[in-house]
Amino acid sequence: MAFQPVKFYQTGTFTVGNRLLADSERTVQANMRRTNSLNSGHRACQGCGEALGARYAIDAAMQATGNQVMAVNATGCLEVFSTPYPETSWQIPWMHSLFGNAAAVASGVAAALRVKGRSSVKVIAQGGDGGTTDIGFGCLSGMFERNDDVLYICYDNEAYMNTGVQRSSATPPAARTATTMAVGPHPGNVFGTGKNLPLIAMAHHIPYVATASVANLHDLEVKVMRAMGIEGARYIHIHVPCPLGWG
Amino acid sequence: MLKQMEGSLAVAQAVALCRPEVICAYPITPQTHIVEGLGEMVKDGELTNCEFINVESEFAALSVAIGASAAGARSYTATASQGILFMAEAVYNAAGLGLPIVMTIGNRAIGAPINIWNDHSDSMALRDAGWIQLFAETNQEAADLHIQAFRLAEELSCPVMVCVDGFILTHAYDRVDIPDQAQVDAYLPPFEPVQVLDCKDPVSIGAMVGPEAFFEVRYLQHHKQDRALDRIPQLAAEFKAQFGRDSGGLIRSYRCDDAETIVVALGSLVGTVKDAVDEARAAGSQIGVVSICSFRPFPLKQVRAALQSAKRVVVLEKCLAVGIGGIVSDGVRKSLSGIQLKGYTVIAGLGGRPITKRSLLDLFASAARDELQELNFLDLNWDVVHRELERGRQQRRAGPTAENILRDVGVTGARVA
Repeated sequence: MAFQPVKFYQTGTFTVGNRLLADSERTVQANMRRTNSLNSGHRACQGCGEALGARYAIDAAMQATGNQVMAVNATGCLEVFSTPYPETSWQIPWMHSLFGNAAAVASGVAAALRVKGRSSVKVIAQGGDGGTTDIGFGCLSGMFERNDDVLYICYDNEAYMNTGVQRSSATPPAARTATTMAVGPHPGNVFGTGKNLPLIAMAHHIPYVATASVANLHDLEVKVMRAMGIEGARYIHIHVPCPLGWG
Repeated sequence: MLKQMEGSLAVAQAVALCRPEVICAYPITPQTHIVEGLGEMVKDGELTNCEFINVESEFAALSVAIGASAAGARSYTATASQGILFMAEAVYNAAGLGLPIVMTIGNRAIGAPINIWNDHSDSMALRDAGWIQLFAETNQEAADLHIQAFRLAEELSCPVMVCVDGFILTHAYDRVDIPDQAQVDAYLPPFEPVQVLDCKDPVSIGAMVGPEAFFEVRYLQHHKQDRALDRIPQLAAEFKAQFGRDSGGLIRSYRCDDAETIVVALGSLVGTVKDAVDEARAAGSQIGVVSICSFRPFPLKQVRAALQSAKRVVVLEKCLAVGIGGIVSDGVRKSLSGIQLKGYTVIAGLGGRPITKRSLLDLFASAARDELQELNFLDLNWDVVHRELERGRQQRRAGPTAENILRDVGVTGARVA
């Protein structure tokens, strides 16, 4: 009978568990000294992809900057589940203004930091796909073309989940949402619609655009850390599942 | 120093003396010259330590100012007309967050029909958003009010709009005394925010508030405006002590001591009304004018005290609350609660329709005879209105009203009676 050695087949792939990696290759999340920027106790649904993505992204950004990060949040799930006063899960300076203006508010924060000589502090704007690809698109494009020193992170769960799963311009074809009903001869979302925001971001010739997924958290962290080392407008589009909306 | 200059440039220079740190610029007539003036000062190095940001919309202009203010920078922007409506959501947001942004409004009509000329519809539309609203009577006051506005805004953590009549003030060349930097520095201390984004002391700003606390947060906005009722006259008095002239305050009375008729007005219109009042006085009328500088907070007590001994009040306003009539009149009536005197609302000057002294004198004469309606429209061309109404009765598809009326009027220039 042939001898079959035990093979840790995951080694060398991005799906490997941290225990099997050298310390230097482990994720920021695996580090006891991670900042828990989005701390536990928030009100996200079980299995929330956005909460997972934000936790990895912001902690990685904190690691990359020596904990010098401020965040501006668009209205949406992430804003709502993380912060009903007097509680907040945010351990960093964090601000929410409106649904459609996160990129512009972040531009303002960055401008204030520049004029105050606090250029070591970095600004992240974040929102869901609705707040990014639809209602916040004008402000986002403005922030891009001015090359303001902001990293914008879109957590794309493919619909307006906070308001009850309505279609956004990031909803894929045929997807059932509350406004693309699974009825009639052409159920779900219309084919040939929607927009590819990472490509649009690239068309602004900003210094860094990346896509990522919470399916690949090592990759996500690497991209955030890389983005934090670059000055100017940066964009990371993170695909995140929504157990409620996709169910 | 006295200079002959455009109103917009006077405002720009006054704002620059306030050492703004972030200025957001988006063009809209008739405000544009103000941010152009500031931009030039930043670019040529005259105004240092200031970020001048060209944004993509008014919504972004105020949003950038919101972010900058929350991060501790003294922030300024300017807009008008459609612009303030486009940023309306952020207007409420800035007030709700308690961010002391100062914004100039170059008052202009709101479309449709699109119209670039002056009236007060724009800032009036956002009158209840939680901002303090100060109206300038002259270019000098427009400049001075900005210096007071930053002080007031930052003391109360409440945003302030300085409302400056489009074209009539913004584009008019007049003699303005621009103070020097040392004087302004002595009046306006550096911005010390009550809340700020700071990595050393992280806070969450702008989170959700439910029914258990929203009401109290909103009430406290109202309370700030009550405090402003005390602070506005005090700051105007301090301003006078520092700069040697009267600017700002809640209201001002002119020839009201024995007045039977008192006209209430806001902004640059007050100058025309004063001239008409002088002429009416010379002809024997007992008439005066009360100008309201602070429209929000509305100085109910002061207006009551100024009007209560008159026989009649004529509220002359450059805005129309469609479906009810006056907007300023509502405040004036509220201030006169329980006092029996005749009150008339006169809507005038919409979309830049000239308000002439002759029309005002006729109006005052009608008022003195109590021949006015409760709601009046000064120099409205009733013939044209009736013809358009008739056209609509004759024909379902009568076409665009504005085009019909212009074809009927038959001239394209503004007609001054």
